[in-house]
Formats: sequence, C-alpha cells, structure tokens
Amino acid sequence: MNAQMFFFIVFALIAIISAVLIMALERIAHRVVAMAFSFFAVAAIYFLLGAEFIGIVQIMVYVGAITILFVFGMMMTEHRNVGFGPDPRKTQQILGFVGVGFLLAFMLYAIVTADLPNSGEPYVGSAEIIGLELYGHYFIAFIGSAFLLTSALIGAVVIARKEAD
Amino acid sequence: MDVILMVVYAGIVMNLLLGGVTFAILFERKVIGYMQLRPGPNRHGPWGLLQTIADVTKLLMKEDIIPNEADKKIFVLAPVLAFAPAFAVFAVLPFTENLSGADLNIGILYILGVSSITMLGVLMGGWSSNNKYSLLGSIRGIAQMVSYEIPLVLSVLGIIVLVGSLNLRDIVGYQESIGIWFIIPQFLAFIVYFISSIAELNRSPFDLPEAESELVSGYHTEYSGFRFAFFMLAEYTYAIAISALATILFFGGWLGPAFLPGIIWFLLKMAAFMFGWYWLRATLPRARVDHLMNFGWKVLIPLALLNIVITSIIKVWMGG
Repeated sequence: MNAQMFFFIVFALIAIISAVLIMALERIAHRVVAMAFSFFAVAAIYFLLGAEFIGIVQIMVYVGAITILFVFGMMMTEHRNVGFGPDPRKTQQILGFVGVGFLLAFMLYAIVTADLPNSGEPYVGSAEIIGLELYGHYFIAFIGSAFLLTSALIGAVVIARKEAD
Repeated sequence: MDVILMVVYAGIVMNLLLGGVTFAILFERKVIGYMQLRPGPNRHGPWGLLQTIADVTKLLMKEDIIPNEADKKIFVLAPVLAFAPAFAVFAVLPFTENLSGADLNIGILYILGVSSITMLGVLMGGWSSNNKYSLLGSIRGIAQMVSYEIPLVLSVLGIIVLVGSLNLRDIVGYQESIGIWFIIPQFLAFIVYFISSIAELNRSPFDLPEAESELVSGYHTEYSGFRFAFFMLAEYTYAIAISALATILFFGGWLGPAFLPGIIWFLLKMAAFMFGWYWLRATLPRARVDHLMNFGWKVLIPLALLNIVITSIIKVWMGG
C-alpha cells in the first residue's frame, strides 16, 4: 500500500464519518463543524487526484462560504432547544432504509459495470485548461449563469430593502 | 520517501514559525514602544529578548478554564480550526529558488482559499463561548473579513493578469525577467493589498473584533491559558503568511543584490512589510464600524477593480 492509497483511505473515512455525524449529532453547531470536515476531506481527495483547481474551488466555495453561511443561519435563528428527535413512525424508517438500500445497490452496480476509458494519459483539469474551456466553448452558458447570479443579487437587495423600510 | 521529507519540512517550518512568531511579537512591542517614546519590554533577557518566551510560559502554566455554559467541544476545537489553515498556507510558499514547499500551479488560489477557513475558527470560538461580547466580536470579525477578502483577492488579480500564471515561482521569475518589482507598476494594487491585509488580520487600526473599549477582548474573551495562546499564534502565523505573500507578489521574493543570500532578502522584505503594520498600529486610532464597511465596499473594491481594468488595458496595449 503506497502513501497515496493510505491518504485516500484516511480522507475517505473522514468524509464518510463526518457525513454520518452530520445526521447523527444532536446540536446544530456540531453538525456544521462535521459538515466542514466532510467538505474538507472531499477537497483533499481532489488534491490526491491531481485536480488541484477543483479542490481549491471546493474549499473556497463549500468550506469558506457555504459553511459560514450555515453558521450565520444558525446564529440568527432560535435553535438551542430544538432537537431532531427520533421519528416515531416505523413505516417511514423502513421505507427510508429500503429506498437507500436500492439507491446503494444501483450505484454500486453502475460503478462496478461502468466502462471507464482507460487511456494512458490522465486528464488533468488545470486552471488554464478550465479557463480556456469556460471562456471559449461554454462562453454563452457562462454569461447566462452570470446573468442569473446578477439578477439573484439584485433581487436579494430589493427584498432586503423592503424589509428594512 | 517523499512523505517523510514532507513531514520533516512541515516540522521544521513549524518550529521556525514558532520562533518567528515569538520574535515578531517582541519586534511589534519594541517598535510601538520606541514610537511612543518608551523603552518597551526590557526586563527579561538582554534588550527584552526573552519577554515573549516568559509570556508564553505564563500562558502555558495557567489553569485551563472552560466556561460552564460554553459548547465544550466546539470551544476546544475553535483555536485549532483558526490555527490549522494559517499554518497550511506555508505549504506552498517559496522562500528561495531552491527552498520551497509544494510547487503548486495555483499557489495564489490555494493561499487565498485556505486562509478563508480561519474565519470558521473565529466564528466558532465566539459563538461557542456563550458570551455576548464574544458573539458580537466574532460577528464583527466575520463581516470585516468577508468584506475585505474581496479587495484582497482583487488587488492580486492585476499581477496575475500581467504574469499570466497563478504559480508563485512564475510570479517571482517574471519580476526577475522585467527587472522591476511589482510594487512600482502595481502600486495601486499594493496600497489596496496593504490596507485590506490589515483588516483581514483584524489588526489595528481595524481591530474592531477585539476593540477593548467596547467588547472586552472580542471573540476570545472567554479564552485563557494555552487556548488563548493558540489564537494569538494563529493571528501572528497568518500575519507572517500574508507578509510573505506580499514579499513574493510585490517585492520580488528572494531577488536582491548578490551580497546577501536570497533567504535573507526574503526575510528582510517580510520584516519591512510587517514594520509598516506596526507603524500604523502605533500612530492611528481605531476606525469606526460603519466607516470600516463604507471604506471597504465604496473605496477599496472600486480601486481594486480600477487597477484590474488599467492593468488589462496596458497588457493588451503592450501586445500581451
């Protein structure tokens, strides 16, 4: 087992365990921290794969922005005594388990039988290549999403102003 | 084998950093002391050299207090969350031509991305203390860090446009090839970087998150002993990282006349940049919250954008 494999297993374990902790922990603050760790472990796996740009974007957007957003949401709302207690309805639990089991089986089947192209050159998504693709091939889609984001920003400002008045 | 080398490198950098932080604090106190016409710390060791070591020893020997009403797990985790990203930044910093960590192609992005996690530590520390001063301090700190991160990143963009690479070594190499440090062609960017780095680090005159006169001591009010030392360590580690980045971006990294080795030039430039912060701290009063936000959003961000536009026009005009 080489070092890369070792670190992959470590990070994968961290990602999965913290993902489980997001659901299992009692207090929302602990869940948010678990979420940050899960995102971080996924970013580390991107780094191991050599996709550094995607890894950094993962850290910037998910750990740096989304988690902070969640923490703010947690601080601004009443949460202290609200717990997500066990659901009394048995049928829902059973249905949930069956659904998740099926999903897992389907995904395992798809992953195992997937026909991955096995060319010698691995594709390395460096920042330069992604930039060229984004501003060349996908320019219209890029501008379209930029328009969407701008309109969302303006909408947020309008709503916030109305509430402030 | 590589893994062992990495661990050894990280260990050495860690130890050097601890020493560096120790003397950065002493340097700060001495500089401010002389500027205010007093000798500064001078009791421990010759010229007060052992003052910080004495302080740290005191902090380590203090009782470890965790407030009863605090969220204990998060309270314990927060200083680590604040320190780890500040230290992780050093993984990609090149100190000289031969002495550097990972030669990452997106070095700048890595630094800017990882350092933003420090916010999480500050926020968690303030929130979990269950103290209104801590909470107010951390909310202020986050608002300030989020808004000043934008001009910080935008001011760096001008250099990236000029060099055409996100690699830190390429940036220093480009400065070597054009024979001029970026502080001259990118002076506006340097001013924006300098001011927003102060705000990003919560240093005076923008130290509103720890404003003693209003908030006792901000987000780490409830912290004492070695957890408090950890927060201080995180702050100064991040400060050293930011000034090392400034050295690479604006002062040509290890470049300099050949009579001194590159690493000495690097450290000298870093110290000069940090001296600028101390100078401001000794001479300027604390800014007000609304002034701070207005200044960030209405002055620094437009200036940084203007710098990008001008740089791009010049780059195209020069036939880049």
